[in-house]
Amino acid sequence: MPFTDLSDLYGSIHEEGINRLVRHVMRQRPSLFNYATAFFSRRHDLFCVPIEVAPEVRAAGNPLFTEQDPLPVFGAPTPIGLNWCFQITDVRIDFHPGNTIGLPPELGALPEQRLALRMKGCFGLDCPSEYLIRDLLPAVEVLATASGRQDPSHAVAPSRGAPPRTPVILPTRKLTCFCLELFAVAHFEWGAIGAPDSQWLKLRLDGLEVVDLEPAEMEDLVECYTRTVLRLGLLPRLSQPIESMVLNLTDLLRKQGLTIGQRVTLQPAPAPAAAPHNPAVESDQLMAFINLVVEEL
Amino acid sequence: MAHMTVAVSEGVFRRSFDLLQRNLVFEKADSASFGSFTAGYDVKAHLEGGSVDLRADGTIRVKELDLRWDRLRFTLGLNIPELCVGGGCVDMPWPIPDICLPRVCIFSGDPDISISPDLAAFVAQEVSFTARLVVRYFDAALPLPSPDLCAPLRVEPPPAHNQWHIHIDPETIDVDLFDFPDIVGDLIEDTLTDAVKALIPGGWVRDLILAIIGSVADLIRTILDIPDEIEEWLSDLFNVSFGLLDSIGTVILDFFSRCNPLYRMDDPLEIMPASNGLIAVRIPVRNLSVSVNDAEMVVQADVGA
Amino acid sequence: MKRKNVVLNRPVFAQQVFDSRSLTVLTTLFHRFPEEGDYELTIRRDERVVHRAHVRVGVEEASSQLDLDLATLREIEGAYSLRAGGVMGFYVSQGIARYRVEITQPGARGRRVWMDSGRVVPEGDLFAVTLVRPGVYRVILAEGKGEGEIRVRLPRGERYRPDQAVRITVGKGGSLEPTQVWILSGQSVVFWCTVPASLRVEWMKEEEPAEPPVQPFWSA
Repeated sequence: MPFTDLSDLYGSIHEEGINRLVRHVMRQRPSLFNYATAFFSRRHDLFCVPIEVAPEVRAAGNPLFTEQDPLPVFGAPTPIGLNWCFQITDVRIDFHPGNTIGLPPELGALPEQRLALRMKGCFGLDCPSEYLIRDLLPAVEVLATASGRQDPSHAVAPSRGAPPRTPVILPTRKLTCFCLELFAVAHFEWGAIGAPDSQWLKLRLDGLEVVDLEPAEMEDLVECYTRTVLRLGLLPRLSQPIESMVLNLTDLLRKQGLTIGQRVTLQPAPAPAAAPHNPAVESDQLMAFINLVVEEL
Repeated sequence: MAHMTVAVSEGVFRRSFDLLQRNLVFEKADSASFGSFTAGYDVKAHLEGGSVDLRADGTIRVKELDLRWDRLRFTLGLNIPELCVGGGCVDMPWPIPDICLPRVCIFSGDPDISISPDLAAFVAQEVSFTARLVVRYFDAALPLPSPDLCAPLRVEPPPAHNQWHIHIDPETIDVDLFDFPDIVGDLIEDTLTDAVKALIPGGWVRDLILAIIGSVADLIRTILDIPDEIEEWLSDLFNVSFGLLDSIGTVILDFFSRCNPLYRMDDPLEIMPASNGLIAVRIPVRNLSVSVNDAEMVVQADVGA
Repeated sequence: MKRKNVVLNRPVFAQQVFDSRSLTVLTTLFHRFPEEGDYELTIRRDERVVHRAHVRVGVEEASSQLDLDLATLREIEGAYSLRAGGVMGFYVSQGIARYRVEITQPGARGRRVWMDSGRVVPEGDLFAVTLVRPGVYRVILAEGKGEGEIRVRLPRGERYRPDQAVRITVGKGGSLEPTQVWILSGQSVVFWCTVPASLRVEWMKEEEPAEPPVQPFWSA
């Protein structure tokens, strides 16, 4: 049966291709997958997981990670911050039927038209050494026990109207890291972004599971946070315009159409009227069924 | 299995082809001397219509593309031979030899006339060809060939970065012969007659000169050395002497096969645009291949490592 | 339409009077040399000598007719050869000048004038006119009372060739035979003078319509 039996255009990508694509994205946009304090710009070697970077990134002077504020030490009489990093690594995708990623029982078997995602989330924190704490303690105690009659030079909190004090960031020698395995089930759908007649392929999360964290509420919390990061942070950036599903082959058609007063756009074929599922995730592939729409201007 | 597959239905393929072929303009001018006359042409044509059929054997059949002439100017320069009065011989009785009279000529110098009628409205032809699809890799780092024969035919400027190009590669191109109708012969005769008349003053002088010429038609036939109708002679001129059919074929071949891909794909292909100073994310495209069956064109490629 | 600069040979269309005593465009004079020998040729243009030549008659390899275009004579001096019994023709291809031809032969008893066209066409010689302008022409002989008529008309679609000529014989007493001829425009009439004569052909009037078809003819 021809690919274009159900629509004017057809585009598909096999999960082998998708996984290579994901790897390219991670190497060319590392700041989407790595978050850390400013300290790490001088000490890439201290990351939990070494960051694989494409040479073009360094050549363009692009950052390897997105800079974040240090983790505050609560209760310190003067702001003190700790260096940390969070990295998403080892992302792997498995289209239905799921045969390369074993989902945890909480997520069940991979349903039809779904894809399985597996990734690692690694967190590293600079735990101050005993020696460092002993060094800092005398000054901290002075600040901590200062009274209301205090010498203004020893004031604990800044007086009203004065600018906040920059935190003291404790020097880092190494991080203490741990990694958690994350599993997710997701699907693709068509939708508009911005202009109501635009067509984008969006990745939507169905379920997420962090493996075996105790207590269960902590697991829930971590899952919730991760879900939020994915849904509001990472996944929207990966949305693809409809043209990319046919590798922009219709670019010339669109340009030449304009010269004769025609507007050529792509629309997903209606499902189930034209194609049973659109986009479809099956046979280890993501498939898109697309129609060409021509309007006389 | 290839990582990426894209299929384009026959209908979309037809539309793509139609939009591309609208840009083909054939333009040529030349002239040649044939001794007693010079003949030349200044022509411009474009393509319209036609049917495109994708076939199970992997070929594309394009039929009945109309070759529409925007300009088909035919220039004919004739050197009017000497026109003279007098001459001839008179029999004399023996022993006196026959006396032959000298001729006196009407013009000092040989007059030339030249006409340039536009015959575009009188001729229409169709073009058909069978083609295959070929994939070419455009390396932006390589300089364009010199001379750049595609310069007048290119629809888009050459890309600034590497691309995969899918070209239609015609194998055999059939162009209908030029077949000028009768009225073209009449038109040329009338135009030449007007040109001859413009040379000479009116009244009985013109009538005499025209009588000496015989009919302009006879004069033309004598100068051009044509036994048949003018329009047949003209058709032969265009089909054979001018070599226009070959030129048209070459332009069509170059336009599609060499100068203008039907489809293009950037390599590497951008999947995330640059933003806020961050570079775009691009994936390398490898092993691009294309095939055709009677329903669609299928493109396959791999994501490079 | 490109056009080259062409100049119409106006006298061809403007000339209306033709006189053997004053050669112009469209007239030709033929002199026959029956005897071998050496002759002197003098050409005058508007009464000024423009050409002298030596004519040797009796040269085996020479041609039997030699035509001289009086309008394009370049050298003052010339030399020509003719076969015995040959003919020299004198004509004018262009211009409005008038010419006179003299042929003499030096002899023991002085110079013999064989021909002086300014006076008369000698016996045995011919005078031809090519008539272009349609109409009726009158032929007048200075000697005798001879008068003839030449009717010239434009071809009307029939097969037409300008290189056709008819002969009129000038006989004793100024007779013309035939007295009337019809030709098509651009064709010629040749007067064969069996007696010395000087001829004048004049355009008289337009041709009347509905003329009979022309067949150039001469007496057998």
